[in-house]
Amino acid sequence: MKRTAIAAVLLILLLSGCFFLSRGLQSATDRLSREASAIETAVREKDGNRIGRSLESFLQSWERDRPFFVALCGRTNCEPIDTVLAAIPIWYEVEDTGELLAALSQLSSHVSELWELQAPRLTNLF
Amino acid sequence: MLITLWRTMILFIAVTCSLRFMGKRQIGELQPSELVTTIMVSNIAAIPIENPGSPMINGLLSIALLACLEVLFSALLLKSKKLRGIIIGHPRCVIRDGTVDQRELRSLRWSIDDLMEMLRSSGTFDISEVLFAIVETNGSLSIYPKFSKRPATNGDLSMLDIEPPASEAPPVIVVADGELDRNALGYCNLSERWLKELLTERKLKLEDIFLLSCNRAAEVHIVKREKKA
Repeated sequence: MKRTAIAAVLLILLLSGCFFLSRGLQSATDRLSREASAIETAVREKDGNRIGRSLESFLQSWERDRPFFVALCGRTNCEPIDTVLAAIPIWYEVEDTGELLAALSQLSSHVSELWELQAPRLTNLF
Repeated sequence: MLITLWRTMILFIAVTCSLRFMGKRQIGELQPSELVTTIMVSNIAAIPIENPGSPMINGLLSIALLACLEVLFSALLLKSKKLRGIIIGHPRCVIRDGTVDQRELRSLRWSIDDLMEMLRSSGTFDISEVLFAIVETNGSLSIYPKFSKRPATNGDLSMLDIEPPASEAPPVIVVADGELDRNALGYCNLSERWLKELLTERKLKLEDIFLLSCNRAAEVHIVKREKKA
C-alpha cells in the first residue's frame, strides 16, 4: 500500500514536472524565435545597429538556455543551431544579405524544431 | 567516453532503483506485464548509453514512469479479479486425474516434449506418477503427485505425538565476516552478552569468525576465518 502511494505521488510529480518542463521549453523557444525574427527584420531594414544588438541578445539567450535545451532536446538537435550561429557573423561581416537571410531562416526553423519535436501533439505521438 | 561512463552509471542506478521499487517478483518469476516492463526498462536504458547525442532525461523519465505504472497496475490487478484474469490469465490444468489434457496443451501451444521437459525440471521423470499438473500464470509447472508417489509427512508417519525440536525456525547468520548482525541476534532472542560469553568460552574474537549461524534454540555453527598466508 505504501509502495502504491509512493508510485501515485511519484507519477503526479512526474506528470507535473513534465508539464512545467514542457512549458519552459515552449517559452524558451518562443523567446529565441522572437529574437531570431528581430534579427531578420533588422537585416531587411538594413539597420546595422539593430542587427548587432539583436544578434548579441540572441547569442546571450542561447548561451544561457543551451544547457536546458541540450538536456531536453539532446545535443544532436542543438548542434545545427551552433553551426548556423557560427556562420551568421561571417555573412554579416561580408554584408551578404541574401546568405544572411538564408542563415537566419535556417536558424528560425532549427529553433522551432526544438519545440516541434517535443510538443505534446498527436502528430508527435505516432 | 567519460560521458558514456557517467550515463551508464546513472542509468544503472535508475534501473536498479526502479527494479527494487517494483519488487522482488521482477527479479524472479515474472507475470506478462512485469516481463514487458522489465524488457522495456532495459531497452530504454540502452538508448541514451548507445547514443550520447540523445537527451538522458527522456530515458530517466521513461524508466521512472514505467516503474510507477507497473506498481499502480499491480495494485489495480490486486483489486480487480476480472482485470487480473484478462491481463495475467488463469492457471491451466494440463494433467487432470492422471490424464493429459491434450486440448489444454494445444491451446497453450505446448508439445508433449515441452510438458515432459517441465516435468523433468520439477524432478518428475515418470508422467504416470502425476495426478495433477498445473501451468501457472508465470509459466512454471506445479505438480501434485499420485498418492503412492507423494512424500511421506510426519502426519502420515503418525509422528505427531513426538515432541518437536526446540526450534523449528531456520538458523540465521549472526556474524558474517567478523561483523555482527544485531537484528539476527534479536531474532534468536539472544543478547550480545550471550555472544560475548560464547566467544570467550571458545577462545575466539569477533574478528576471528568468518560465519556464525544460530537458531532460536541457541544452537550455533561457527566457521573460523582462515589466517592470511
